Amino acid sequence: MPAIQPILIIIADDSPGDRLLAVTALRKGGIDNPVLEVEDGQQLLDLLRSDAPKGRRVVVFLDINMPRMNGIEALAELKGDPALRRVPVVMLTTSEADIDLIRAYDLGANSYLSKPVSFAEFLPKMQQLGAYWTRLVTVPVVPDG
Amino acid sequence: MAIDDATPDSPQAGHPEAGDADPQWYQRLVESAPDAVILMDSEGRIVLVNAQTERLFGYPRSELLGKTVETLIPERYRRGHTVHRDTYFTEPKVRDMGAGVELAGRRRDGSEFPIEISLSPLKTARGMYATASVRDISSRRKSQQQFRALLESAPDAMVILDERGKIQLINAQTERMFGYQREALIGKTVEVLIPERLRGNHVGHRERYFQVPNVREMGAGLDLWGRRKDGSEFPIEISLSPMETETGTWATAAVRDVTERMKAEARFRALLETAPDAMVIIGTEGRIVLVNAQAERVFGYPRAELIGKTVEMLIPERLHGRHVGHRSQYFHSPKVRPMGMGLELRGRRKDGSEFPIEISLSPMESADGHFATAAVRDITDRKAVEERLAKYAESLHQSNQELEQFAYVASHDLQAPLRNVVSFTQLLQTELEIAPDSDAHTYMEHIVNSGAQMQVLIKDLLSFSRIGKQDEAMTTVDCEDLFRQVETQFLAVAREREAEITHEPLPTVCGSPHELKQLMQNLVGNALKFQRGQKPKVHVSALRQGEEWTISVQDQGIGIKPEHHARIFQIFQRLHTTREYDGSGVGLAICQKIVTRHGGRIWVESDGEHGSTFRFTLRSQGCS
Repeated sequence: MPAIQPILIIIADDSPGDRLLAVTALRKGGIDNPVLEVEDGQQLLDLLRSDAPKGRRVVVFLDINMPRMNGIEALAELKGDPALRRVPVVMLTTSEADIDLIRAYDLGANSYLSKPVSFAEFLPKMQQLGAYWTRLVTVPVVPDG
Repeated sequence: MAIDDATPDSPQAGHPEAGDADPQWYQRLVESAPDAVILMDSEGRIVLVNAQTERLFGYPRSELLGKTVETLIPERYRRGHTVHRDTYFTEPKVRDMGAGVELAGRRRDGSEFPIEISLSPLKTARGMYATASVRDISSRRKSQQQFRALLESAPDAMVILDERGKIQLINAQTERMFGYQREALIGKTVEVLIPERLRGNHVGHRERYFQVPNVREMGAGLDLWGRRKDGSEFPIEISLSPMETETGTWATAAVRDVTERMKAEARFRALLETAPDAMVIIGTEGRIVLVNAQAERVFGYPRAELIGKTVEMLIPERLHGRHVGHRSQYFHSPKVRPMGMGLELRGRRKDGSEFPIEISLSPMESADGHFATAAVRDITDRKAVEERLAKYAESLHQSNQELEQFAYVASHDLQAPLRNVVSFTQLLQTELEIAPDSDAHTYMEHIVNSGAQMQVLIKDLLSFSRIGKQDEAMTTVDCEDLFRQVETQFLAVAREREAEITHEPLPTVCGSPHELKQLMQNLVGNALKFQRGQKPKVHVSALRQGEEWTISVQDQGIGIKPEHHARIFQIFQRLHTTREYDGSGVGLAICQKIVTRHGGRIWVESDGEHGSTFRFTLRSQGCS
């Protein structure tokens, strides 16, 4: 029986600064789970369908506004895929437009966080969300094959 | 032989050939006459009758012979007749039937009937005799009466004239129309009813008519006038028909006074001229019968060149075929067709140039038949305006889309770098362990604060530009309900500042729930915010004035000086530093935009010392 691997966090965001802020907030918040970064929706799906996450538990932090394939499109595809639809997705966005929030939940998003300008505000939010998804709740495994 | 006693034995003179006729011969002659023949002596005694007399009067001849001729006359005429008879014998002459007096016969049974008599004297050796030929004219009289009744019942003045133009018969309408008594017209030439200036020509017309008499309308286009007894003239219309009589061909003229119609036509023409559109009136054949000055101007033709032509001359040639079809279809089932309905058409000016027109059609009935009135509007200018508007709308739509795109960019792309600036500055502060009292720390604080302020500006600008973009349908909104939601939102703030928020009953209006809530939220928020130390008191009330509700949000805060009242509704206009009162200066601009979108007004009442009252109006009608 293999040792239980820690939950894999995937951050999908086209902004390198935002990705760094997210990782920094997780780390400063004491979340030391492995983190993989991708720059758009297509990269996210490619990664999820590769061997990397097979047999592992995964949580995705997904930005909405991205080039090529945006977060909403990626969410739709992900939640429509029987192998991937149980992967928890936390929407990370700048937008406060209600319409994005509603669409994301309609498509099966598990959580939604509007990124504040101030890191001082961002840190506790990411800390709590990270802890929730990596420590508090049980996340299913991405099936093998 | 009945004739024996009574027959004059030697008749002479009077009828020379009958001079020495033998009584037998005379009797046969009398019997063969078609009329009733009565021979009487100078005393008026009947000496001979024929079978027709017996039949006509119902007497056997034995009862008549020897009686006076008055036996055959109604009693009331007898005395007069005796005198006539005596007069006749003093100066006997041949007198034609029908000339003059109307006579009546009396049958044996006492019944009367109209007769006509011709008399001729017969001189014999025994003295003067007279032969009376009597004809029953009942049936002729009857048909004459029928004809007269018919004449009287005609709506028009009827004038019947003979070949020489002498008036033979008129009806009461003629008397009324021309002001003459019947007797004054009978026997006169018909020209007496025509103005003097036209009489000369009329005689010629009349004579030509009798050469080829036919039924004819004289109204169409001709300038006809009647002349009353008092010399006044009036416009008439005449229709003529020939009438065969025993004495030759007569003519019946039906005369109509068209004064009223001419007046109505004149009024109609005047009305036509006042119409703003080009008016073209056409008959069932498509011929133009009337146009107004606007039609001359629009199509470039003088009136004279239009009247009588087919209306297709005003339409480009390539459309003629179709138009003729449309036209006859229209007359087949004529109805009012207002402008803007159906096809857009093209007009053609005299110079051949085309232009877009719009037409409304309405059928018109008149004494002269069916017509169609076409109101034609040159819509060249309107077309141009429409095109400009369409282009403008298109560019507006495009710039709206660009604006939306901008809003999207502002919300995402502008905020991401801002977040990085602020967040990494904050991280630097901690990573570098910069002392809080150092200049570097102050500088970094400025970066962070400015970033935060910029984010507020971006968000407010966004919410301002989003008003009306949500496509939220107008619906019935209970302001009472709205107020409770807003009140709940400010619960914490109100508790913290010990504020008192009160309200009177609020109405139900039609609007966007989201926007009206934002409106209420901004006004109540301002009322709570702009205070100088004291406990805030906010009061919301509503007053109905006609079709409008005026809703007021009153506070006892710092107030706004009247010179600032207009400025405060402009975007990014602030009366205070952010140190005094935070905010971006967008809240009231949003309020104004929302109220304007709902068709209302917003204003503030304040003397700058005793608080402010913001009022806005909303239409009271519910949503339909």
